[in-house]
Amino acid sequence: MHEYIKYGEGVGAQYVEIKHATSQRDNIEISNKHIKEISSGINSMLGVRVIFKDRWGTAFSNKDNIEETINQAIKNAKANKQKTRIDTFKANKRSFKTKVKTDPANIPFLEKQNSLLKINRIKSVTNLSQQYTDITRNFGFFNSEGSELRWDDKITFHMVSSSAKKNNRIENYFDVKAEHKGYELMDDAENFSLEIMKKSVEMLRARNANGGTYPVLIDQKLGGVLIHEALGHACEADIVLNNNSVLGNKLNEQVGSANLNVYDAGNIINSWGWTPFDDEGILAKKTPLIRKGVLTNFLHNRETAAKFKVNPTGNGRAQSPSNKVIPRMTNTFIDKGESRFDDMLSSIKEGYYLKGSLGGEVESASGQFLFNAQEGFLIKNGQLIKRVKGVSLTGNILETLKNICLIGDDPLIHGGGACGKAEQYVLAGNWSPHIKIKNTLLGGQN
Amino acid sequence: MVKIRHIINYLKRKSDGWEVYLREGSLLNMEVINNKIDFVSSGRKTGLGVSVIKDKRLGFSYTDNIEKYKECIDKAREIAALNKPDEYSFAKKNEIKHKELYSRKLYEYTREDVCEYYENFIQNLKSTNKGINVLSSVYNRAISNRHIINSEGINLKEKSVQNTVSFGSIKLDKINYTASYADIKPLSPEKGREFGERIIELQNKKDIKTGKMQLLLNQDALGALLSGFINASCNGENVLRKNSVFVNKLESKVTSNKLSIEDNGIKQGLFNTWGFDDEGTSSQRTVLIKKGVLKNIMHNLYTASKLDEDSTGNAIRTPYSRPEIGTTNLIVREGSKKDLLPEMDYGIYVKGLMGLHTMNTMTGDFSLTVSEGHFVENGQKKYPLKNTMLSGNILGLLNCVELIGRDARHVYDISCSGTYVPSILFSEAQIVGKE
Repeated sequence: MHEYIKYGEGVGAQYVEIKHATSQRDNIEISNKHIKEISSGINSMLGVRVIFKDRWGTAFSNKDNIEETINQAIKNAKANKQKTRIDTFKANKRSFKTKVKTDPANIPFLEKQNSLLKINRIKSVTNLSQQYTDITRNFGFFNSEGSELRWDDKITFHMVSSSAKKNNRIENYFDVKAEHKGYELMDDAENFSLEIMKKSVEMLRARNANGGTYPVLIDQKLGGVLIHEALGHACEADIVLNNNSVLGNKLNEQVGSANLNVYDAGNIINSWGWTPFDDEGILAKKTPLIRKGVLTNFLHNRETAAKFKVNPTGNGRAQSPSNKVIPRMTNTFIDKGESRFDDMLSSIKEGYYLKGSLGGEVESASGQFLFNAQEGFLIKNGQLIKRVKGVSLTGNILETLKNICLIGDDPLIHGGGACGKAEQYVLAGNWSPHIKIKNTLLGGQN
Repeated sequence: MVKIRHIINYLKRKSDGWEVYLREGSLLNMEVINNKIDFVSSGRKTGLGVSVIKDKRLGFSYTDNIEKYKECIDKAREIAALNKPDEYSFAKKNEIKHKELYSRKLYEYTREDVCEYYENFIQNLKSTNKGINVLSSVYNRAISNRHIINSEGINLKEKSVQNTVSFGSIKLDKINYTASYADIKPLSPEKGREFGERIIELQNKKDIKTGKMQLLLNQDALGALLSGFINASCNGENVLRKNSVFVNKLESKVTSNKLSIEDNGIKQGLFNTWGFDDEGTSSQRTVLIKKGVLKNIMHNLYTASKLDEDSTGNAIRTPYSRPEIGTTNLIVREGSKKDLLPEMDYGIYVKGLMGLHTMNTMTGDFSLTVSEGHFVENGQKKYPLKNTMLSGNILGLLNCVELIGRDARHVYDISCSGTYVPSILFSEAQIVGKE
């Protein structure tokens, strides 16, 4: 690649980055015992990013015409209206490899297919859909600083969605198991599917929740999504620089309760948001965002770090080599606290216990957020009374962080999903212990 | 260099049936940060999807690298051998009724032209109020060439263009406004003024009391709510798998009799208007709901053959997967009143909703935050809303249609399909407020 980087510099680029990403994917989708789709294929993308006359330009191709792609990137830099500046760092030459027990590439398609087909529906379940995917990903990064970085990665994914029906009512429950793992992820597939089917049947008994303001107890998954959406996005330095973050002027101030500690860490091997090096060749690290309730850091790419006069934090990420590299979270999580689950539950007279997430959204400028819980339970006098459905919670980051009054001592369960920002999706991990939040506005249908 | 005929010759050797789906895309991606273009990326991407049928078994594989077509076809054959026999088929030669759907001019805009349109849009938007800043926005233009060839004699090519723009954040004082827009034409600068006026109206938001009241959804809000639900419920695959609320509901009343909804892939000038679908079936107009009665479900070739129907031309795919089912352009029939606001007594007028991807498209349950909305009393907008949530079920809502507007227009929805709907006034909806 270095001859191409020299070529780019020869035609006037101040900085040249060449990235490639390939992914080979085996995919099986079944609905009940019917095979909906089996497919296998390869995607590849080569991207070039240059700084030309102090402006970024990007171009991409899935053919091997690197010089032509560099020329296009320079043309795009000329159309860019904003100047940039980045600092130079020493070259990194490293190779990473995701360790797996059983490489899915060595498992015959038929065996993968049978592991899904052997799962039987339970009573009341009308539809059981499953998707199995394994992906072998290879990344390469090369730049003008002389960096050469490679990552050979594996991801295995099992999604189960169950619909249950009683009279005229249909309810659905789904869950995804996705990790940087090999075929060993499927060891427990039967139990995993069974639990999901049972949940969908239980959902048939769920009532609509009452809208209003309540204390809520939030599980590890929803807590993870909450901290990702409500805090994480507002800590992304591009949003801060753009005066678009409610946390912009809050660095070193108390923003949360004194027992709250939050981190972003891309260097946790095999975690969902593991990013050994980011899309600008910066190695991953652990960044404290909140310590004892005080906001301590923002998340940076090269450009925002130069503007803030700090070091990049390894958070410069892009969906693919064709996309803009922007500050993104890796794994964002609330650290373990001291409260026992039972004590947290019994502290609530009337409220809700909310579990899992159907997704969320946040407006980082106002701090307004919305999440939909996947499961909900009415709490009365410290007891779980009944299942409710369709509960969403809405609030403001600054109020909510201060309203987190209890943090659980339960073990951290890694989780995560695909996070969207500026129309780009990247893998982002998030997790949390159980937390209790005071005065939360819930939307319900009653 | 690999030519299509090399691929076809290799396919012909061992398969009973085959299909090649080739898509070449030319893409332009721009971003605006703080009112200025801050990112420009462009490139080409080619995807090849190959399907084969052998002994009634289907195999599928894909690649981005056409040079490797032999490996791709071999893989598809290997997969076919694993699959179970089923009613797989490829489109028979059929008459493509609509050709040349777009004027050629749409493809001739250069990178510089599109940049200029984008910048003029922002200038126009800012001209409505000095305090307005476009903090972040993303613009994508995709020109695609589809080429479908199969063993049944289909050999179809079509070019299309889509422009999509999203505004992650437009700011005016404390208002943070989010919106998106899509068209076959580049973003028109005149649109800028329209967005600006909507933002100005959102100053001084207030809380509202919880309760049941009238609800007026404008085109954007209605389109966003409806599109995901119709795509899931009127979907032949979901009906076949008994996974839709519309199972066994054909010819039954499912919504208010004021409502008529169709899928229309042939209406000129809309987002997903094309000559043929992604299997090569001619595009058509399909009535889904007529005066409240469910009339048709959308099909591709597979679900049509399973349910003894004809394909409705709703096969939608990328080169990287087999066809699924989706709307082309979802159209709600207009009503008679041009402006519904004066018809309202007491309720809210919603133009923007937050959290749409959290909606349960299968059951139709939703619980969302109103991001752009006004409290209305006696036909007058009283104040913009804050801390307001809208909860309910779409079918429930569609059963209490009070009036439909004569103001249909195209809207951008999260599934990126074409949606062309009017405003609708509903007699009752559950609103949760904080006052």
